Amino acid sequence: MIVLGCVDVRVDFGVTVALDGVSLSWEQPGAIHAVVGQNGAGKTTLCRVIAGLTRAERGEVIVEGTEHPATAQGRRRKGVELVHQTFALPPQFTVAEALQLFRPGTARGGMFRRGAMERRWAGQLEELGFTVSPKALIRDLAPEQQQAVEITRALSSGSRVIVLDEPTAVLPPEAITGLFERLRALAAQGITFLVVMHKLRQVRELADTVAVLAGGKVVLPPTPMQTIDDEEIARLIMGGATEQAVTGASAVAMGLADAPEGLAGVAVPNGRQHAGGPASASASASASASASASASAAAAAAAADAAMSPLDNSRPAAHGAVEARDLPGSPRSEPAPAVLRVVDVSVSSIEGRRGLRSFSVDVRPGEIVGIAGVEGNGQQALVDVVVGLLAPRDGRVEIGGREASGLRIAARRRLGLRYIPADRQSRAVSLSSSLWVNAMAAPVSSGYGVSGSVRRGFLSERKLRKRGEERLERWQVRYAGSDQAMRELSGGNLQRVVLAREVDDDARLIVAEHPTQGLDLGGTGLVWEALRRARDHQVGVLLVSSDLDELFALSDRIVVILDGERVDELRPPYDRATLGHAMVVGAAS
Amino acid sequence: MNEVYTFVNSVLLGTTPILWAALGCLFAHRAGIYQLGLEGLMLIGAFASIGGAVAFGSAWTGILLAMAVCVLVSVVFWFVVVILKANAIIAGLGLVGIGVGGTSFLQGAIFHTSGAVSARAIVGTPVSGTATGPLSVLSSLSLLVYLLPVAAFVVWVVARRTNFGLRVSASGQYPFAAKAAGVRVRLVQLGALCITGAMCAVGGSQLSVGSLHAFSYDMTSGVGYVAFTAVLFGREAPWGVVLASFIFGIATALGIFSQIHAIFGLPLEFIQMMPYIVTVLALWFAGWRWPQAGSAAEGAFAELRG
Repeated sequence: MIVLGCVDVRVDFGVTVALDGVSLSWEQPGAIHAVVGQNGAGKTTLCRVIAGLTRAERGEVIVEGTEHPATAQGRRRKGVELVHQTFALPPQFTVAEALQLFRPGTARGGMFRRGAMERRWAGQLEELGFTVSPKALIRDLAPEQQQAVEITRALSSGSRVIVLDEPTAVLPPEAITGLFERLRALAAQGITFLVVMHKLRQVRELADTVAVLAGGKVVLPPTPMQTIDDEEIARLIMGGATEQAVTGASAVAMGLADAPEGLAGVAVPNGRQHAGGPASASASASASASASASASAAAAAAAADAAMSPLDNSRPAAHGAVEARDLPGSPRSEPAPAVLRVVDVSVSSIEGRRGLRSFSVDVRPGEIVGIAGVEGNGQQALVDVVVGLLAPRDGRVEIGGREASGLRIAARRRLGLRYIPADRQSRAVSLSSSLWVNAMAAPVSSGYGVSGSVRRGFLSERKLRKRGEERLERWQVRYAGSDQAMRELSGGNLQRVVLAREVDDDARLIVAEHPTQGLDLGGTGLVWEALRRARDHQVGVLLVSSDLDELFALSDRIVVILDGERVDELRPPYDRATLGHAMVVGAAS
Repeated sequence: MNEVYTFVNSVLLGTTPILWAALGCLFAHRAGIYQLGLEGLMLIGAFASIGGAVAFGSAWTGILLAMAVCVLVSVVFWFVVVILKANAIIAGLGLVGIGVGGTSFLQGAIFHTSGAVSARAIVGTPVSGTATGPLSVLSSLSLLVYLLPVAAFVVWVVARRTNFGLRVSASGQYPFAAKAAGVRVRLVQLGALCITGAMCAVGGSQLSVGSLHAFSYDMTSGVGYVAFTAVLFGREAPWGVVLASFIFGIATALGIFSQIHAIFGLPLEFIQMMPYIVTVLALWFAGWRWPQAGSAAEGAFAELRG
């Protein structure tokens, strides 16, 4: 019996094809099946079609042996439950209310008593081994608790098939192990899981079978994990999507070095330029992609080797940083004045956001300073203080040697401050605006980099649009027209637009906040490469991340934040155990 | 002492139409639709109940007619805002315009007068004619005033203790979650708007067949907007809305009171501004103290289609 499957499913979103004749089937019940692929490969769409939330143009979905047409309009399908990547829980509901919303069945006459309802859901949560109070508000829950509520919700329907869309993307590292244990225990009870994931290491750790999607097509049908190695899977993920994946790492090299507006003239000591060479060559030739199958495979390997290291956990931890340090003629040989100085800054803690206590950090030009800490230890306040969203109660912030405390955001941006926010959808872009407006909005409103687009005090839309398009193209954003609304882009593509705006010639200081969260390998490689290139061009980077691999790969120094205080500073070679200890306990002394 | 009784009486009188409309509007707000057309709905309700009272000789029939008409108007409003996706604020203002102009036009067309239309059939007043003593607080208040505690309680139960209430809130706060839960968001919004319409009709009826026993041009004079504000100020919570409505009711009563008695020698015009000044202050306070959240929800909603 096919426990879960789909037959010839096709989904279009306007001009783009999200799923193109996808047929997949999983036969083993009580197992964990993984689907991997790049951003935009169609994984989320597949989940939504299976759950019946997105209507397919054609095709069928099979759940526990029963065939359903996939073309039914947005009604949930019986027997299968989807746990969303973005949690589908109303933030102002209590846990019990949210569960009640999903499973109203037991209320007599549609009416319920609060106490009885809370007891009922408390029992359910407990039975599954989750410690979440039914009285807590959803918005006060940690991501792993929200996920626990979602899983409880999914299982309480009696469904035996659960689809998880990127369950680890929102979790702090320490919570992932717990989730995996829980899933395995449930699978042992006969629940079948379909899991969409990015990180191959996690797939390896969790899944029984893996299938690969690329460009809306199946490039690997469900295959037992034992019979396939990581390199093969990586090759399929990259190879299937051709140029986008392959050139992830080299896009920046090409864009910045060759573009007319690029960080021109500066000699770039970069070990990866060589590796980037063949990759970009294959990209430009990729209109006839199949012609150079072997070349692109080689490029994929090179790219994976150079920049896609989230793939591989076994590489030396300090790989990236050490390499950068060893470059000949490194500009960091003589100390330059700091481009960012945060001196004894204190910020009050408020509900839901930890403050800072006398926190200091310097970032010099051509340096990436990582901020490591368990989520919610003051990182948010630090970022907000630097970018100008929050006034410190005490202390000083200097940007490019200028006291910045009284400066508005626009003034800070004119000093070269750039910001890559963690919350892409609400802080980084305007989803309803067009691509070119998103690429140009910050320069225009802050008043830099638009000198050629102003005539007699008026902005020329035509010129601005052209500049915006140049930026988009330099970063290889895939789009149909620059008037497209931002919301039509997938996650990785959206982050490219952010990079196109934030990593420009005038940047002196980049604040990058979880810049690769939720991105696939190609997207991660692109962001990493962008930050490294920026560093090589004497830009200072403040990198806040909860991904230790990322911090190790990029940072020249790592400052550890705990409870709003600076507790330690680490230099390469980095060591997981030391950092982990510092993040939780404080300085190792 | 008698002045205190009179004052309390006029507080109740001032609060009742606001509260009926606000309790109804609570559902529209919770469902995520700003129903700014309360003023229009109340006018239509006031007119329809007088019309019904004149035609059928019973105030209660008039009120039922008013409720039916306002529900019908709400369905149209729903169609325009939810299905045709018109801007709710603009559509609401349009509804006010239709309420003011439409009732005035029909008044001329049906009753051939531009003055007041009065009805002999009125809503019962359990206590009437007592001019002095504590009972004068309740004197000549219509049954619609006495029904308020019941209405508030029912609204609380429906909004906070039923699956329907949860669905309404989810549809408003986070449609993405509501859809994922299998809630048909548009239908829930239709239900919420119809409740709003029906309760606005009662609020309007209180003004016409409930207290003045007549309909005159634009007789709501801003009560609908005040009710709208009461929902915001009451944070869309049933008891918050009750409290907010009473604050506005007191401000209104002060305005009436000051026409008879000078208060601290303040100019009459200033006192009459009170309800509106309080409204503005309340809005400012609500915006300052409880800023709106939810851009994340909108972002998530964007990924859904259809």
